[in-house]
Amino acid sequence: MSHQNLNFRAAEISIPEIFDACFEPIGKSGWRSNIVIFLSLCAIAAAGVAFAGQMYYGLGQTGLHIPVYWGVYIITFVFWIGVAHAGALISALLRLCGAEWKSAVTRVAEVITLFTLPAAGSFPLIHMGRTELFYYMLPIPNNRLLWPNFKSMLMWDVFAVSTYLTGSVLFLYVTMVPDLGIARPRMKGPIKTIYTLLAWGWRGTAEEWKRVMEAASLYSVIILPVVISVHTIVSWDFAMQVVPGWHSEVFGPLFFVGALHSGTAAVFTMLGLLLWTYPSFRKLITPVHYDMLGRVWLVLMLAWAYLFFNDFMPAYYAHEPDKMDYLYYNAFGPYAAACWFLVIGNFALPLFCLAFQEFRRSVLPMFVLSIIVNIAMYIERVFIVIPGLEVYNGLTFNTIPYTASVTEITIIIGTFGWVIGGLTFFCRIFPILPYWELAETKARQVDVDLAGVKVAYFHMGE
Amino acid sequence: MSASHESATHRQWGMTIDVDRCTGCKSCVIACHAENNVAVVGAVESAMGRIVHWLRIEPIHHGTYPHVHMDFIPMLCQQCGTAPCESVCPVFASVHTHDGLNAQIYNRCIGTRVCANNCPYHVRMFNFRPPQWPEPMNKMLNPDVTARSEGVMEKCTFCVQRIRRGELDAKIEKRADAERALTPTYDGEIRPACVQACASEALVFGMLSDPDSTVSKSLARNRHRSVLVHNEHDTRPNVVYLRPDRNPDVLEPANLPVGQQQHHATEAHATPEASPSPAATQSPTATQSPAGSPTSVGSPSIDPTPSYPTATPRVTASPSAAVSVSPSPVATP
Repeated sequence: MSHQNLNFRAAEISIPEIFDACFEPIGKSGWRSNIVIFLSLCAIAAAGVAFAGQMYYGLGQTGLHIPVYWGVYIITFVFWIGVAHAGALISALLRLCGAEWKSAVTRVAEVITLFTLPAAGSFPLIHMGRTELFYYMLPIPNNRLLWPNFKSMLMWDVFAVSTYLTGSVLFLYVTMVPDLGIARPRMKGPIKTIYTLLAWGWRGTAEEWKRVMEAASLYSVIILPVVISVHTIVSWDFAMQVVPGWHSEVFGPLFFVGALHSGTAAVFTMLGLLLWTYPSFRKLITPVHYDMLGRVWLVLMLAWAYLFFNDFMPAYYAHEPDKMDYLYYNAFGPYAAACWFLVIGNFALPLFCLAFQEFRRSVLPMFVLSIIVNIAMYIERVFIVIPGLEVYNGLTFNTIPYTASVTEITIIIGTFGWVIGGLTFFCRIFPILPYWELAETKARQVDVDLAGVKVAYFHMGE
Repeated sequence: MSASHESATHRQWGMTIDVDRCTGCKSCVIACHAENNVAVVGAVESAMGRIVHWLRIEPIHHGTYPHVHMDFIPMLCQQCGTAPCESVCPVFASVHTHDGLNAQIYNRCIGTRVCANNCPYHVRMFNFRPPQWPEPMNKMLNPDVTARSEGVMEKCTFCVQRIRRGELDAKIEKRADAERALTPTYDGEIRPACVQACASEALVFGMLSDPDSTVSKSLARNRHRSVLVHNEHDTRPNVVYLRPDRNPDVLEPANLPVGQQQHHATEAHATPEASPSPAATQSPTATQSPAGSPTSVGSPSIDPTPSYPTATPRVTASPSAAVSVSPSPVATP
């Protein structure tokens, strides 16, 4: 590892070239994105039909039954919430830490949040027995003084997810306003109209810049507790119940770190696709970004592994019967192969791969690894939800294992279509790379000669 | 969510279930279905594991082949004092009533099913399909009981419609007086369908916080073998099981049929050193003569401190009630 590797440098192209690279995809349509958007729309339509069928025929359309009351809907809810955590982590945390290399990846992460969080939020509604009455969970004043139960963790879920959705959309939007304002005069047609409406008359005065910078810093601080609380509260959906595999004190941090783990993997998936689709981005997203974010990912993966094994260690030392049953059911039961794939795909393989700088810097292997990790993280959520309920089966006449039905799978594929199609569509309308942040980083860079080595140094504001 | 147990006027309906007396005939299950309009889900849905029973019979085997014995545990909603299902419901569809019942408000239920996950007894049942009944049965629905729609959680109510009707009758007859401050109804007047149908009188229902009620006397008489199932979760159930003499630890959490444990539990019973021998745990309270067995005499091998907590303080406060065994007198007003 040489010092050049650690020394991040802004893009080696001039600021007008950065603009051209950032706005190169806007308003253009290629066959690849057309196909992706068409398939996504098909998936969403199929999911709509499946959901209508579920509404009409009842939850009997799913594979759920009496002991296993929560199934893939909740699993996918937790999965999408986890992926959505990429936005807050990379934007807010790196912004607060003053990591100069963050600019290339912040908006990618935030846009992932923008689309995955509604996908996640739809699942508690889809999974409800009477979706049409979801408003019972909202604290709407009424003449019968009927309020939701604020002691229920599902209520906390409602508030946490909606707060996070509001906050992340605002966060994304505030940091996007300068780009829209700057690009507005050079755009044409409907995109110019959209930019004009969304830019709120941005002129680029010093006062406006000051406000945007302040808002970005402020949102970074505000959204961090929100993002920590969101997934902790999602974990409490399980941890506050008496089901043996669920009732675990470590679930809060485990879910949070697991979310960051899978969220970072999702960012790498998205970055890989972007670099494949838009070659001009290769000047802006460099191996140094991959290296830096890969290190963050490595740390998050190790934290996840510590907490994951810590979930079982105290139970193993104490030989707590319920949890041991759950552990043996996982590791040696009918799902043993998937369980060991979980451990390998989430821990052993990333540990082996991410430890090497050459691996972290290469795009295609990181893309493959990110896909594997997210599949393994989905399986981790399956293991959190399903075996706990199956082991905790108090019925003597009912030992049927849970299998997802066609309806459930169709709806889940529909949310994948929403996320993938939404991200593709977003890239065609809005700049997926934050031009003003990249340009600002470039403008602040000063090359210093340190002991004969040219090192990049960044002026800090003011 | 539990009501204040310390109040002198605290009312608590309760039930004792004598596992020794249960023959496993399941007439209670049928009675419950008939009384409460419990849907018959049909063969296909049953095979998918969506059968709905408010009350079910758990068969527990023990022993090896030549010496097999079977106990039956009627499992119904325990009407917990600190019910796990109540605190997790986001919309207050699962609430505690003033007389200690664990009510389920069907109109309010939105079907998150979190209460069912959190119930250690697995007695909360979900309507995966719109309720339906085979041809002759759809003409005998009980008009006193709401038919639950699809997407709604339902469970045993202690036949709350019978309780309310009894209280209304008492109100019409102006029966309320100081003697019966807890409930205006006569002891034994209100009987849930399962209690009514039980041929061996294994189930006894009544006002648990009234020391003179039949259920309280049944409990006091059999206090040394009373067990609260799954009370390790501090649910404080108000259904008290009376453990059988032949297999006294059948109601312990480790021996209850929780998934994969069941097989090992029955194996453990097969080995003589794993469980106390039946002779050592023979209780003086034989099933045939409930009277005349003093409560202080407990088998030494059985836990001398009964696991029944103080959910009903008035029962524990009056041990004298245990001695007087009179066959449920209907007090004159």
